[in-house]
Amino acid sequence: MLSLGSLVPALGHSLFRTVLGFTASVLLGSAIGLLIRRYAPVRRGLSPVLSAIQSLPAAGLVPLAVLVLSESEQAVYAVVLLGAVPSVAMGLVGALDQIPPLLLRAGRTMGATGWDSVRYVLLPASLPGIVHALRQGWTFGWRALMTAELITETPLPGIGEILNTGKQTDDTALTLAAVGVILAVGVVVESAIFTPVERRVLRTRGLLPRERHR
Amino acid sequence: MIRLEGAGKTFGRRGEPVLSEIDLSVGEGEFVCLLGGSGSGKSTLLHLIAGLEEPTTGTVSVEPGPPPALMFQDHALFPWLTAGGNVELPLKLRELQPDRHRTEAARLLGLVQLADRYDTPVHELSGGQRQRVALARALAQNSQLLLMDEPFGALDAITRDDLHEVFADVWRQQGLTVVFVTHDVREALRLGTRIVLLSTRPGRIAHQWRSTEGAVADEQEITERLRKEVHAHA
Repeated sequence: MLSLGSLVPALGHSLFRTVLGFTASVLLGSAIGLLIRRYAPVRRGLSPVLSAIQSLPAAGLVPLAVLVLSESEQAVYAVVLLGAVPSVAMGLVGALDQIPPLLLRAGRTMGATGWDSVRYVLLPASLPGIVHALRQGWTFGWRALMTAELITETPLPGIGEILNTGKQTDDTALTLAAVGVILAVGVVVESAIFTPVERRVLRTRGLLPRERHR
Repeated sequence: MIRLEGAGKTFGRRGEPVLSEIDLSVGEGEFVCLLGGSGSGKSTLLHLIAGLEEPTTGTVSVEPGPPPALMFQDHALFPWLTAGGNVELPLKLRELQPDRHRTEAARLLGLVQLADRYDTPVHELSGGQRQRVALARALAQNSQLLLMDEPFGALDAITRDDLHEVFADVWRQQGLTVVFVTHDVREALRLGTRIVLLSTRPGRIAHQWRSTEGAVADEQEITERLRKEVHAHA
């Protein structure tokens, strides 16, 4: 019987999965994004597919992942990847596409080519967009993980499973607590990581109004 | 230093030529102003020299050496760096010893009278200051050839006057060769050792003046000819 005390270890399991899944999504999504940006045929072929996957609810991905990978932790990870990778990839492409051509030209005339161009021009110029892409990738991944944990048949320890148990045992307190934990994770990640990073990135570029002195 | 022979440029397969039959050579230490109305292809000519565009006809050759430094009407500074950081970047790309980056960048900012602005973010600089940082950044490339595309075009008259002075000093001190695009006759007269007037659609060399030929008397004549070229296609 699951109780409120089981929330803490469950949170640990879910966080471990989401960090691992998010890291993998960032690596894979960045690689796909760079390929899309670099090769026009890849863009034509992959962009619509990725956008379509983005519009699929995670609940629709679970049966597919289970069919291919059967009931397993791998299936859960597959759902997280399918949720987060398209956001990271498309977000990165958007961030790179929005770099003013003048800055690219300025970089080129200064002799920034190849890796130098990535390091000194492309990456810093697209950083605001990259932060946005990462945030979206994280949100999609976290949501997909909760859904996957909630509806896979083999119970995997995690917040989603607690939510499921709460529902099946009519335990309102447990269900509300699980929802609260899911929300709290979102708030903590947002306010401890994404917001400060984004503010810093925008402030360096003069894109945030200065705080008023009184 | 620069030689163009019969250089022409057409964009697209069936477009009208933007530049046609340009024969121009620029010697070391010259300050050549390319003067023309909009649509005269003066920026395209600059891009040909910079190697940003290939000529459709004829040839463009630039003396081997560090690639030419380019300045734009928009300062094109990197907004995520400070003034000093922007000037340091070409030094990094030139693989200058890291311990010399700061002193060299500070020296260059000193040349444009912004030594005290090293750590100022770009967005806190005024328009004129940004163009001065852009000039220091161009100098950091250590090229003998500086190509400028209406670099002072977006500035108010007084700021532009100040910058002319700063820039003329830098040009003399550094012994640079400059090709400078402008549509402002007074600016061309003030800075250039030679003025090249381009006709409009297609851009051809319509006339050239050297500053030794009595600069003051020329202003009216040049303005008159520029007006004629602009109106011929209005």
